[in-house]
Amino acid sequence: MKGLLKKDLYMVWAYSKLVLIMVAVFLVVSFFSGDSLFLMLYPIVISAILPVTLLSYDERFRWHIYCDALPIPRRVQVTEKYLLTLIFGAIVFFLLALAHGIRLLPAGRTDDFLVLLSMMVLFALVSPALILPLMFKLGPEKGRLAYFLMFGLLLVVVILLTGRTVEDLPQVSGGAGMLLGTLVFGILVFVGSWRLAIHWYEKREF
Amino acid sequence: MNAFELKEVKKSYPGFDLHLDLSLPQGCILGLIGENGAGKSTTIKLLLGMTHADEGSIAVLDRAVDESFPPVREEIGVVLDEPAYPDCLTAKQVGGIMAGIFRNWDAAEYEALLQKLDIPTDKKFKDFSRGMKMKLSIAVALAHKARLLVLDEPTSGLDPVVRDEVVELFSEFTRDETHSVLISSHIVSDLEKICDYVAFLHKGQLLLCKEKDKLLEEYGLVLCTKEQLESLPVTAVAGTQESLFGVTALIRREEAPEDLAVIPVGLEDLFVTMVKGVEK
Repeated sequence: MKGLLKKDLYMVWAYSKLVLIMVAVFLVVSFFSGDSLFLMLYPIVISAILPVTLLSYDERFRWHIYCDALPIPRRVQVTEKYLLTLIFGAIVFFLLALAHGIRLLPAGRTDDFLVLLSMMVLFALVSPALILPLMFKLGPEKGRLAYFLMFGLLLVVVILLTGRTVEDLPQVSGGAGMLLGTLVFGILVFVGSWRLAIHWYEKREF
Repeated sequence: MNAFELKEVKKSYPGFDLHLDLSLPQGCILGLIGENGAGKSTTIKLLLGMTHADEGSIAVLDRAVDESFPPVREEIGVVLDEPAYPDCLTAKQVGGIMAGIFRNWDAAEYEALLQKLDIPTDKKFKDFSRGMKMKLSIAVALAHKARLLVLDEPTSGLDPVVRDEVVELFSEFTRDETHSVLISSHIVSDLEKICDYVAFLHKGQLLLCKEKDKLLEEYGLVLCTKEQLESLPVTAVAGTQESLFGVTALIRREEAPEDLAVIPVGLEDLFVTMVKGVEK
């Protein structure tokens, strides 16, 4: 696991510097652009796609085949990508939470802040959880396409449920309970996705 | 004890069936010879548990190749036909990654191998020649105290001088009696230098697996006319190749008439003539 994490961090640094810069830029821009939901959530979305990009590179370099000849069970190969998803997601989540906490909390907008955190949790955990099993089952190319379809679908569902456009924060007040509920839901979906990805990847033949 | 055993193994893909009964005694080098698509890489994947057999049983280093197999790969050094490190990595970084993967990783041995094989430590993999990429794979395979080396075309892309050095490394590896090597190669001359056993694989079928020296003693070549060939006992002829100048026949020396001039045969001619005999 340690070796795989090290390899992926080298690869992120070599191939995904632009993504890291985009995350930083969107973070700053979203801080100064009011309540644009798109700008607030986009850094989470692009950080969640990093493991997907890494899987594409693994396949391009045939690392996934070589990896099968190393003492690393497929279960561990899958777990490492899920762990990376959590690490990247957590870093961006805390930076966004910090930035928008500074913006919203002094203005007394605690409910808005909690809604934003809930949506960030949803996007950080649920969107990769939907796509990663498909990546492990079908391969990265089809998986990447499925990710964008899934993201679009998720956004539509959110808009339909809240009745608001992506440019607004939904005006709901569930407080800390909503955040906790979203977190539990997100964790359940993420763990279920991880188990499914292991099951599918262990059956896959190259 | 055998380093590995494949018993009545069958593996099928659309248009291809592999049937194998193959084993390698510990401390020996087995050369796997076969044309493209003969099933060499599939055999290697089966041995490493990278793909699963439809029938039969496989054991490597006394452990069954099943779901519990991956930790056994700690003791197997692998070189695949295509080096598969990410382009952005240097040999030094590959060493750091492998140290986090293999419990028995020997950093000092790895550095010594990089030096011996003249591999730059800070150059990126994408800037390596194919030969250099292969040498890096070989250095990794030899740097974690493996007991079995599984090498798929490890000398392809290497120049003759480096090939000789690499073949010598594999030979040195088996000085320890607990070490064994399975090596597949198109370059039969390399296998002839180091192998104790050879196995011929043709279209998924194992034509033979024997001690190399006995095999070369057992067979010989005869250059003759078609008429002379017809006068030979049918069971003595293992294969033939026809040319404008006559026929080259692969003969079992024991069954050949005493007055027949039989010349020694090399592994490459033995394989090619045998395969042509099978196809006829």
